[in-house]
Amino acid sequence: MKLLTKLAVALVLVLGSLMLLAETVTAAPVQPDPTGLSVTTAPRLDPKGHPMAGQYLVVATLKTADGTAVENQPVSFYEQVQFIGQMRDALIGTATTDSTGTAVVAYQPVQTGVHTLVAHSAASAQYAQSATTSTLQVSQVVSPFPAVIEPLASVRAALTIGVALVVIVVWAFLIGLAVRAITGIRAGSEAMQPVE
Amino acid sequence: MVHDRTVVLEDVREAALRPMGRSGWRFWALAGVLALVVVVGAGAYVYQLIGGLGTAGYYDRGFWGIYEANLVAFIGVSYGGALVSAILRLTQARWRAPITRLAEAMAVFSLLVGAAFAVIHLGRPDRMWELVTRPQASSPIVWDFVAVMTYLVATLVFLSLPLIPDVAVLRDRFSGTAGWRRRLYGALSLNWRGKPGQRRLLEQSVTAVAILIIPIAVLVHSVLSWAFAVNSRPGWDSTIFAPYFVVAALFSGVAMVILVVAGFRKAYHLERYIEPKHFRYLAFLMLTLDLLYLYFTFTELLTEGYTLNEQVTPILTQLLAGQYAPFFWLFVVGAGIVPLLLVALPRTRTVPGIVTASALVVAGMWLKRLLIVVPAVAAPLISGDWGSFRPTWVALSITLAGAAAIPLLLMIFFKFFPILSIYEMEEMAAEPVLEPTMSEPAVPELVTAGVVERGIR
Repeated sequence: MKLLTKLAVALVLVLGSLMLLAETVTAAPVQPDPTGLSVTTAPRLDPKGHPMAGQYLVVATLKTADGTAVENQPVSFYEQVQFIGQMRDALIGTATTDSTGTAVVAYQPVQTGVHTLVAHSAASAQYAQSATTSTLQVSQVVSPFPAVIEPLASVRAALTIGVALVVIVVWAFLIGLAVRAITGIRAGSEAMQPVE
Repeated sequence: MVHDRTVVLEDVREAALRPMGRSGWRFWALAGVLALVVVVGAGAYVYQLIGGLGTAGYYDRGFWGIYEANLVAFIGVSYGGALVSAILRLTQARWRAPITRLAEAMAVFSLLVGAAFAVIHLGRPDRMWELVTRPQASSPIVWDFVAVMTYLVATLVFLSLPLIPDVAVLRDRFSGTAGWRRRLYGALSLNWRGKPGQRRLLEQSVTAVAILIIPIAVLVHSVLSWAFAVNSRPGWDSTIFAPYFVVAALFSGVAMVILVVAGFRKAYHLERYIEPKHFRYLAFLMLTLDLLYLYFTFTELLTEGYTLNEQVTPILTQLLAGQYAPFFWLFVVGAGIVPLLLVALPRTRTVPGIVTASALVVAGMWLKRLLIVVPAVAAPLISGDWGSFRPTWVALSITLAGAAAIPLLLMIFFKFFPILSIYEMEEMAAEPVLEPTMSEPAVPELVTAGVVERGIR
């Protein structure tokens, strides 16, 4: 009986060691493939093939080190903006790469000037993370919101000009009055005719 | 009844130039105390510049407070000073002569102090420059800046023009000396010789400025009110705010004129020239404005309270029966009803009674400005607790410094320029006058066809 017990314990120990060994072999780390990301911009075209004013496409291409396109990987697109004195990434959008490794988002900047765009592919079990930047010179912007004619806009503009004119007239009158009094009194004003 | 008002000219000149003589220890003691308060306030402002507006008690739910109240209050009293003088000049009120200089000088100096609070309230004084370089035409603050600057120029002209003949008196007085005073007064007197042409030009100019300064002052305070009223914030968004502010400015301004006149009258023994009747006339004006301001307050509360708009109701509740109620009712009683009674009752309509009423009005109207600013800011616009504004020692020191700066600047000013308008007082003294009194008609009764007519010049 004692022998049987010892054999059983030995069997359990051997089996346990084998299972642990197998587990260790299965969990060995797999190095994700390094990837390369490139990003470009292009004017966005309407269905007739004409460029749409102020609208762009941001195109990112994800490939492995040997140039193989990476498919079905999410790519996030950001614009670098200054926010309360610090540069931060503002999300433009996210797209998934197709069979050619290309992910595309539409981009409509709201300010002219140079915009710095960032494309970022997060790390996965298979692929390492990758990021790249590109700049875009924007010379024309189109508001994404429909133009609304503000009520009383014309009256408001006229009011500003009118009030400014009144201020100028008052200042001119005051200064003119002071200058007239100073020069007139200084000159003696004996020759002045009474003004009714 | 024809009054004999011949005044010895030298007496008028002596009285007007009295503050320019050697000052006693009381003057220097008072000036020292006032200067100390101003210096402490200046130090507190430097501390605020370093530590930010939070050191004064400001935060996101108490972002307007005591400085905005000071700005409105001090510019308001300035308005009162200018308007009292302008109206009295235009109506040819003969009794104005001894008080116009004090009222006009008070208008300039309280305006300077009020305008300084605009900068202090801004927190970042360097941004004032952007009002000039990058003005935003739709901002009430820009127009506030323009209006206050215009009013400052107008009050300076209004103070300076009537000073010219008096400065000529000083020029003649210092003509034998070789000091800086002779050169200063010589330059400022503009070769004034009292010739008919010079007199005519001066009177025309002063009248023109007096006419112009009334609408300017009304506009300045209207623009100041629009900094509140054009906000969609409950408690401020009111159509009557412009006239409400104008009446408030006049009310507190007349009270301030009475205080300034009383203070300098007592200090320099000017009782012979500034008589109790001057206080009575000003007090009647203050009484009228008191009633008008109470009427505006009632109108404002009635229209808001009757509709009980859901956004305004919490503010009204807090103001009339909540945390701000003690202050509001203190204002109503202290600045509204008690001064009214003090002036209305003959027994208390004395110089001390009128001065007491004026002091209550000035203090109460400052409190009212705080009650306009703070509850509307503290009320939660979305949800949550009420905010509050509790002024710290920094805010109180700067406020006291502003209040001390006005009498200090006046004391300094009258060390260099006459406290009474010599030219006007001599003009008045030279003319025989028919003046109405409270108890008798100005001219003998004219009985014409059985109808008694009373003429009052």
